Amino acid sequence: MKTAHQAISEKITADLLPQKFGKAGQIWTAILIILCILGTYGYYRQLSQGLAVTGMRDYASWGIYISNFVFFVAISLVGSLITAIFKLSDVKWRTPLTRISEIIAVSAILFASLIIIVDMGRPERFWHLFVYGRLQSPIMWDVIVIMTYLVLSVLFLFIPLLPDLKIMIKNSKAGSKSQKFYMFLGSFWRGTAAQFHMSERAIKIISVTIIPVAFAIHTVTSWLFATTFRPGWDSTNFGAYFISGAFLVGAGGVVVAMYVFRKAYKLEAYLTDKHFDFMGKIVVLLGLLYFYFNINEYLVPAFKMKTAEEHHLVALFTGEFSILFWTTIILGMVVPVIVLLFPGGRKPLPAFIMGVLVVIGAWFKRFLIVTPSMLSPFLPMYDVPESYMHYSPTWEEWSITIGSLAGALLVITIFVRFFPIIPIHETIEEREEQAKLKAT
Amino acid sequence: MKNSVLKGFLSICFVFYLTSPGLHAQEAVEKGTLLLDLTFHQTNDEMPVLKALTRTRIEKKFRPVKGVNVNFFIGEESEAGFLGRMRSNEEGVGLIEIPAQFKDRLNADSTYYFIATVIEDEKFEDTSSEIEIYKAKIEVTYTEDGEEKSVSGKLLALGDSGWVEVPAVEMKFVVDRYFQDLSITEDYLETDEFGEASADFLITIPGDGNGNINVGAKIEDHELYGSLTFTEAKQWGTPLIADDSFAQRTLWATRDKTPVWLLVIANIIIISVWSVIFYLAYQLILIRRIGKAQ
Repeated sequence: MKTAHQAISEKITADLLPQKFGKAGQIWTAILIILCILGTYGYYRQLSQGLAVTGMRDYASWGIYISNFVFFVAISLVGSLITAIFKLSDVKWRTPLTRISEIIAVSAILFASLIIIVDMGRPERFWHLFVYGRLQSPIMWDVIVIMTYLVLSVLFLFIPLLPDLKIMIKNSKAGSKSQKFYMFLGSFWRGTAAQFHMSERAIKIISVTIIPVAFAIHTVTSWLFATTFRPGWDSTNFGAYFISGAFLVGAGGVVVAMYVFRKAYKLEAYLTDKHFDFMGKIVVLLGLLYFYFNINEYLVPAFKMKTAEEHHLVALFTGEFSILFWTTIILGMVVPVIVLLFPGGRKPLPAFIMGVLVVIGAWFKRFLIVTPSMLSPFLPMYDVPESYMHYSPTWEEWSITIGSLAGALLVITIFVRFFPIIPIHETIEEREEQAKLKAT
Repeated sequence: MKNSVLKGFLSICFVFYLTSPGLHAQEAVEKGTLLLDLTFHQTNDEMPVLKALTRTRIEKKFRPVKGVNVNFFIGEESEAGFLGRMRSNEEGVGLIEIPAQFKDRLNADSTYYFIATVIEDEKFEDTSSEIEIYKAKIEVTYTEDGEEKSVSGKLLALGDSGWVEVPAVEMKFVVDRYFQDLSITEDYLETDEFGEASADFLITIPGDGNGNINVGAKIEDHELYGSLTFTEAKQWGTPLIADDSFAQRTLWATRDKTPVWLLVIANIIIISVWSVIFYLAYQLILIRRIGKAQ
């Protein structure tokens, strides 16, 4: 006869174990692989013909690669928000969200590292950073802090996964490839008190360490811009502005992922309406915070309207980029905040739609931070070809950029195929605790 | 029927061919006219320099011609008077310093006769230019009375009775700069009856580390004497203290000159964080060891 404890644990394990992809999952994976292949082909063309295949020229020397890089760095911050900050603040409902946010963080920061190499043109220049890099340069700080964050995020993903690996070894077919894979990763986990004690301690240490590193990663990324004397970037506020935006897109990304996993794996019992409600409130808070920094970034220079800033601000407000700018502000920030303010808006489907708007808006917001400033130099653009005065990404740039986004999603997809996206062991413990509390 | 249509078509083509402007284009090509200007330049008592400027008229404007071979001669167009050949640069200028073996000849004569020639080629006809130069020199006197400084120049030409003063020649007073001379007066000054002109030195200008600048007098493109310059180093400039901040430890210096404070702070942060990471990795090893031991 099964005990209540066994019944709970078996039910949770059965619900949360990774499952084979259905038809939709296979189509999704195939689409991502095709997009990655297209991106690789675009990169092959860029490698063989140089950066001339891109739309980047003398003035707009940073294009959608850098926008994409900043987007990846931004969304990766969610790992520290949900896992570390919520853990240290003892937010109880965080459990089902921790692994979702950590895998988003790992895949995003991985592709941030790759896309920056793509932007360099010749990949060996990445090596030059280590051989000839100057510690005085924010680019060097960014490289150091990205590597650090990537390692910490991988540890943050792996260490809490150890108890689940034991469950997966036990529940996978004996002698199968997947069992061998799980055993390779975590056969040493016995679940002893000493091991739990040490892993708990390690997780606490990472939680504390990753927060300043996460703040550093996005602050330093913002300094790549702010330490450059250009209209739109010459701001002392950029670190805080970038971090607030990063938390917003990260939270939006988690809401989207929650909805997709809940639907795909029927996880309604674990990713409940309550989680969408809480995350919706967090998105509102972060959206308002980011909106506040946006007002600072645009209103103050617009009030003074220095000659050099004028070209940049006019291009954003009423010029070449105005449609994209206002669409991004309204759909990527204002509408989600308004909709999510209401309890009905925080239901799973509307929250998911708002999350999608936040994420897409965040990508274009990065584009609007990068490109209009590049096209507003202090010295007027004079006697240059017309193509130098505008920036239109080529298909190679789009294919590489979309390929990198697909690559990040593919990493998450493959992870979900082999590992539980909601921590099994932690969920069992949590449910048992709740049951005990109820019993008393 | 078919044949007559074809014939008609071919006849029309033939008429077009005969009347097309490109048919006789090769015959219509005419050689351009090359304009050659020859000028004489001498600085202090260095060997004089001859400068040939080659230009041609394109679309009603004179444009310099690059790559023209200009032959320079002294006295006559002969092997004995051949000074050398220079190819014009992008600005159409061919320069030659008169070779040292002609120094005695230059010292012996009071009048020089120079010729520049260009031999006919695919683009241009034969052309030549000649100048006659009377030997002249500028003597410069520098006066310094406390803060007040002035410079005066005297133009002398070599006549039958020796060096004689030359009045009514435009002279300017200059400081040598990298790309061109800097005039210390607003206008040209004219030499007086004694061949003299003078100017106060009122400008503040950076010199070398000791404040040395080359100050002097100059006449330009004179029809008899050519261009003559005389300058001498004077400590009239502001000593230039080079900005060597690139050689110091600054944020904008090279990688081996990273500021110490940045090195210390950055390394403390990097070492601290990575120590934690290594500690975590060590914890993982310990967890693994415990597991394996059981």
